[in-house]
Amino acid sequence: MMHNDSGNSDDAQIVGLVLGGDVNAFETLMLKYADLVLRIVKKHVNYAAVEETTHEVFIRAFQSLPGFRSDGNFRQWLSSIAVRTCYDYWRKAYRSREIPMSRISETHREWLEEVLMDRAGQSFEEKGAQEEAREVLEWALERLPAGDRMVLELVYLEGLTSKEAAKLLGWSVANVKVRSFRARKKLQKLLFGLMNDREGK
Amino acid sequence: MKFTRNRQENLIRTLRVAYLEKEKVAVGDQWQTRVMRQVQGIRRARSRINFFEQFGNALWRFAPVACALILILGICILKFHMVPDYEMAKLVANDPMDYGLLQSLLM
Repeated sequence: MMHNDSGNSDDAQIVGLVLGGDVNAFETLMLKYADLVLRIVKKHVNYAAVEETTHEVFIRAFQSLPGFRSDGNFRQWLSSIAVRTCYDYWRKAYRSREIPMSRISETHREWLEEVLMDRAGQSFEEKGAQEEAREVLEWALERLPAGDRMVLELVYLEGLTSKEAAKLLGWSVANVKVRSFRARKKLQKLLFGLMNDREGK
Repeated sequence: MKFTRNRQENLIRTLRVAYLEKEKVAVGDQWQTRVMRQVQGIRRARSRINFFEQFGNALWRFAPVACALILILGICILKFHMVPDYEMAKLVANDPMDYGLLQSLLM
């Protein structure tokens, strides 16, 4: 994450204005960080829930403003709220079983086999950009608990360090390391199980 | 099929591309208006709560004055040997009109 001292002091000033009663100043912060929050939310939740979750992130941020330290990094603070809101979204969704589970077809299995065997002669970018890639990923992530899903996305798919992921999720580094390892194993088991099913048929 | 480390890496790298592709989805900006509307609502609700809190705080400021008044009145009652029931009876008994009424009632 980039540290920008003047940016931080600007943000702290705006936060001061909002806390002082000028609620409209919050719009400046929202417009400044809308792209950042949207980028985070789009990656972690389903397309249909992006707007609603982004809305929730900014409301939570507004309500938590009194807890923001004026010498802190607003960008990082907001990113953390965004990640935790996405985590809560999945926790709630799994608990209420609102999310319809996607199904996997033979085309997805073929795609997976091509990736594993490295047969199609395509680059990772080409294979990953295919619709099947996104659907297979979604299928597997939907079957993981919310915590495993989040940690897997942050550490393995986004490439954050355990320390960075721990900061965003509010967990200990040790917890992130253990859970990311276990989550990766679960993901592999799911995907390879898919392949074994295909071979068994 | 054996899942060698190399195959696992290939899979993770490919899925990483798919994951990052999700960023490209376009989203409208209607939510921004809704956020600001809700923020204004929260502020109004907070200021309403603040009014009641301020009213409560102002009310408590009078508590020492009320205590002091109660204390002074208590001292006065003790010092001048005033018994409220007796004072009231005396007041009624001294009033000729009431006295007559009282007597007629007693008789």
